[in-house]
Amino acid sequence: MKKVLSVMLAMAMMLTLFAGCGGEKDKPADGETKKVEAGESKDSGDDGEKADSSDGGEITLAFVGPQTGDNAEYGKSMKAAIHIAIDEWNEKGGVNGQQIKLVDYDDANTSEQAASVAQKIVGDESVSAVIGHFSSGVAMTASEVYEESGIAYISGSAAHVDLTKIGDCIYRNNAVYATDANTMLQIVQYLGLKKIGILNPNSDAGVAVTTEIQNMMEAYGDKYDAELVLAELYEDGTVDFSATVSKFEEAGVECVYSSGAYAQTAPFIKQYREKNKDVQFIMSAACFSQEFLELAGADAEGVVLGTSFFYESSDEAVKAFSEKFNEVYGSNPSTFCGQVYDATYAILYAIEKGGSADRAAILENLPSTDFQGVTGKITFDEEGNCPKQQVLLKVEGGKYVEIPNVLKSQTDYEKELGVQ
Amino acid sequence: MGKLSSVYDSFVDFILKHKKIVLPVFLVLLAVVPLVIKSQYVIRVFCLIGIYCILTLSLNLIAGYMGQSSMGHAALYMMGAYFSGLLGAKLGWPFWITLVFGILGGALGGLILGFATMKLSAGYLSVITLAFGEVVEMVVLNWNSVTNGPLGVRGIPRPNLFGWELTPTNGGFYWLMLVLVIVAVLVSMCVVNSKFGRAVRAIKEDELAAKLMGVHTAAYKVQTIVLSGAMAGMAGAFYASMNRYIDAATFSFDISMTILCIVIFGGMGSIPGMIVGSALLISFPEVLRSLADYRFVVYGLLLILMMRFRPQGLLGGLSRRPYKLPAGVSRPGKPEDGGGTEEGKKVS
Repeated sequence: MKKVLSVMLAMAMMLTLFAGCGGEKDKPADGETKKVEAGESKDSGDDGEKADSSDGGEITLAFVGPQTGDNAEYGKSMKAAIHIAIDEWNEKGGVNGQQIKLVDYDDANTSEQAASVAQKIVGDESVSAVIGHFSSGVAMTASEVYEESGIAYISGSAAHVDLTKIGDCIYRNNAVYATDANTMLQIVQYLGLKKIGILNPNSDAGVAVTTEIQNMMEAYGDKYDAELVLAELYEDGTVDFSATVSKFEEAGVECVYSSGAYAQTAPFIKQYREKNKDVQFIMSAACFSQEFLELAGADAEGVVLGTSFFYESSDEAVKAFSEKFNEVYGSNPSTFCGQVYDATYAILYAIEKGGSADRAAILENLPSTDFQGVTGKITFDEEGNCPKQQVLLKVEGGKYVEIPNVLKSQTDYEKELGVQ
Repeated sequence: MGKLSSVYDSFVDFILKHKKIVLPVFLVLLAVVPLVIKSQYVIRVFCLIGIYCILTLSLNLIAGYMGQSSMGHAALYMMGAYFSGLLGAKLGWPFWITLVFGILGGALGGLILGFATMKLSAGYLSVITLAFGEVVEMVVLNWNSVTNGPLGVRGIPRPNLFGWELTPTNGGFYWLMLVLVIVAVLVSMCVVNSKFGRAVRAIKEDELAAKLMGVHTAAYKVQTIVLSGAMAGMAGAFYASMNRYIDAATFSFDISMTILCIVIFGGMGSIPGMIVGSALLISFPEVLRSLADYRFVVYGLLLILMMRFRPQGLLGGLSRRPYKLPAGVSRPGKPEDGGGTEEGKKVS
């Protein structure tokens, strides 16, 4: 026992010694830091990666996402989806005869680390384009760096209104708040309901979606025949919704919409159902998850939601992707996974079209992206957003079932409604 | 093991002995870093280290010298960032003015916190600071008309020095960081070696005794927290301008904990300890990137080992320098060996 302890003590002392010296040397010893940098630039990349060949004939894409911390699951699944896309291209011979490889970085979903990692990526000349960053705020911080150094970046998950406004290098393959808001209005109309209640999280997304809905209803005016009776916000971590439920009941809402995560919406639905069996719940893609069904249990029956990606869709490409994802990752792909998968394709098409993996060439060819991906038709508008058309899902018998041909794109819907 | 520890001690002694040479050389080397290192990533990590140097020096005033722990330091940091960022982004004020307001914002936060905690200490104070952190975050999240709520503040201007725009790319931010860190170090040194500093340390050792000696403890406590807040606000203003986008999630409870960790790791009450601690704890997660999933496991393990075997922190513990007595006071009998953590004047 004593021996073990003394060995441990020695180790600790060595660590402190190393640390103490390292600290003093860390700053002035430029050579050392540089070495670390050079050695680091090709770290990571573990699963499913091809053997490293020489740098000459390779195209490198970078993925950044949380791989440690609370949101690691999102980052890891997104990484798996990108690997699938890259493997598909590599199997058919790569792009313009060059194989593609992915380097991945962890930002732990914090702005601080994201900006550092972004600097690291733009400093690595071999990287052609970047995909990833999970949360909006994190993506916003990193985007400043990508925009400044002129490298194409596509987010598959961030929803902040201003993200793509940062500049020409910033693209997004995710539903914007307006899409979510519009989908909700379409669903309400489809169900023939008149009195809407909204319960959104007090986050960038929640506040923005509420505002979008209010603005849209105002713009549609008399042409839209339902009214918003109550809009509420809840704080992250809320478990008891009884006061909110009473408020909605007093206001006499027929349906409640929430764009919140399932961890909060599921208990809310359960608590609401105790008081009122008939109210209709409309959720967002955030509740399109197995965990939601498990958490809400029988109360999930009848819940409807719109999402840009449905893994059990009859579409052949989606089926193939879901199967592969299940094989590699052991679960069904989330919407974000589908979106980064398509983002990878968008970049590779741009490289193919321009005949070069040059950063500037990719930026030149991204705006003309046009293909059918697993998350719908992928095109980018002037700002860099991909207009999304969602599919309507309903929970029936503890499963999501697609109700086809209900939801339209926002432009088509507005045309039909007669507002421009 | 004894050997290792003596090597370590003699290394520290060597630096202390030759500080007149080591220090300027160290500073010059630091100043030329952006000229030598071209990697923006490394420069950015250095800037981040600088920010944490300021933040830990700021917390060090409260935790190291006054012996009170703050678990909501990120709130003061956030106030500085938001005051500066909002004035810059919404009103287009130049950085140098918003920096001043950032410092004032942090100080204001310190004033509020100081008055709330004037009569508290130890555990009670920790809880209040924790709550203060949450309150500030909630205000920022919900005061939409001013703070832009959860959407954050975008487009914060970069500093401009006589027509030269400082960017992370041209080394400007690095040098600015260096200047701000030096300011923070000088402020800390001045505080520690003044009557004010001695009074504050007296509060740490024994608040009741300090009171009996005529130290107005409540006033000193508030002043220390205000000063600490001003320093944290300075770091916040710098961060806001460097990143150009801030949101409430950036200044979470985790940041408060990181700051506290570095202060403990570096050695409470030691100015060089804060600098070395920040350099190590901020660069470790970056250096350990190759360990992928395990990097924070190793990081945590390191902290545990450190606390188990060197609880006084890297450079904390007994000072090897004799306590500097005020002029006209002579040392009775044999020279006293500095008893407490912060008895001696520290080198920096």
